[in-house]
Amino acid sequence: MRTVIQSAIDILSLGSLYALLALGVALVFGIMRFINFAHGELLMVGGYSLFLARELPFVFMILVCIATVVLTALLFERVAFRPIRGANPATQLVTSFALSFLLQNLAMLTLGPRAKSVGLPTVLTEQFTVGGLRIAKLDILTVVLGVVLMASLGFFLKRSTLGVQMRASAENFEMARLVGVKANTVIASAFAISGLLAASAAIILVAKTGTITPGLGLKPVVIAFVATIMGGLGSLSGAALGGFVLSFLSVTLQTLLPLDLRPFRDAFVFGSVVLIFLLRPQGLIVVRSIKERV
Amino acid sequence: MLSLTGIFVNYGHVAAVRGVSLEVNEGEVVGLIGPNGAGKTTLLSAIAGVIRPERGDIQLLGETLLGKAPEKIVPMGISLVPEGREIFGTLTVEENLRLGATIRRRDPEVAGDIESMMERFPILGKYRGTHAGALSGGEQQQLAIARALLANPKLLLLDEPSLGLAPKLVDQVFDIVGQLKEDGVTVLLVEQNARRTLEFADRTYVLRSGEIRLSGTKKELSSMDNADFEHAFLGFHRGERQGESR
Repeated sequence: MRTVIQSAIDILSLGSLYALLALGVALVFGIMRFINFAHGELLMVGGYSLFLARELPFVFMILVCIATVVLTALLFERVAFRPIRGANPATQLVTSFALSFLLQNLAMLTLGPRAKSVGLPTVLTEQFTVGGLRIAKLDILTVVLGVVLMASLGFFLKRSTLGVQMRASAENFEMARLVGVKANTVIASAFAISGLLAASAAIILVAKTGTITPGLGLKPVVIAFVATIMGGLGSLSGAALGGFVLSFLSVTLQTLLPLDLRPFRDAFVFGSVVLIFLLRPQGLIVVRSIKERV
Repeated sequence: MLSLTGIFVNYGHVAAVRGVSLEVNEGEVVGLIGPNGAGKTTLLSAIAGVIRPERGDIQLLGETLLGKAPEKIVPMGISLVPEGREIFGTLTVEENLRLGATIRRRDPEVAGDIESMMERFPILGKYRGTHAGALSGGEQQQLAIARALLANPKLLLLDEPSLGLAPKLVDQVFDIVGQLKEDGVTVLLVEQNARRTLEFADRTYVLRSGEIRLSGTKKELSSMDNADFEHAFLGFHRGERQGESR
């Protein structure tokens, strides 16, 4: 029983992180119809901004991180993606790869390939015990942050004028423009929000591991990518769900796999993903609005 | 009000519109009819800023629309009700209407206008919280027209509003356009339903293979010889074999 609860906490905590990652990718995909593989480098930029601001009080570190990542995301859009808007989707995809490699190598050149470490307040890393369960405060914080961010995002998309415009653009971008929705505003907003989500994920990630490397965003972006597709490309709730499914697979396999197989856990996780795709090739949640843009 | 001069549009190497000039005056309902593939929708897309003509000029009240993005053209006073309606199916009816008023930011009358639109089209009021994708074709057409009207356009572009609708609903759509005309809205109506449009519009242009073949007022066109009209519309006289006339 204790293992089950412990695992449940792990699933929720890891799932929140994965959901934040996936939502960042899905939000941009919804409107631009391409997967931004440079999303991982937003995490990396967030990580290094925490490192560079390490002398500041913790609150300021967080603010610096959020501001840096959101600005970087906006810069991505303005410099790399706006000039190729409307180009062949493959062109956009390759551009995001190029951007990703460029930033990783830039980080390696300027900050070095070796891991940097940041000491975050011990409050985050402490554990407490309830009824024999050892719970890390960071796990609770991750879940709370995930829930708050997802609820706010949902509220924003549902209620605000800009949110409704974003949903309309995700469904039919051309028609949205034909009622007067400003393409640049909507796209920049999507990137800014995806930056905010990436910054939050970066903070959690750095708090978990304590280290920052140029390749920090590599694994997270693959997870975000798989979760987004598994959720059914274009569906935000699907992307979040995909994140939780991945975390469920990951934590469960970690517990159930025999000891000597555990190092290969990820092979089993992604193997299960392949199985899911065989059973539901269209993803967990099917979005009707996804069609080829002519 | 709207004037097109010498418009050419190509899709790749295919010329879709070849040297079209047309005029829409304030308060008029102008029909644009022609067979499938004549270039009618292409012309509307060019006016709305979705595609850019190769040559020619499009002016609204003396100001050129060329090179302007769609979202810049809407505030100038042009709203498009596109072919196939293109309502936002995953959004509610009310959200669709709100989006129609996108360019009227900070206009305190928007909320009231949305309410009166729901009175004018009661079905929209009834289903205000429903996903628009669940509406029937005729209901979606009403929504698409209401959405376009909420931008308070000077000129409404209607692209085949009767397409795919049952005859009774076609009547309803033409009734709505008739009301708009009485309200003084200027309309450019693209239709495949030639007869209805000729009876209805103040003036009509016949477009075939990307060129204007015929134009005239309701009176001029109705007094025309049937065979001559068919020739303009179809490109051959009935009874001739199509291959010979081309």
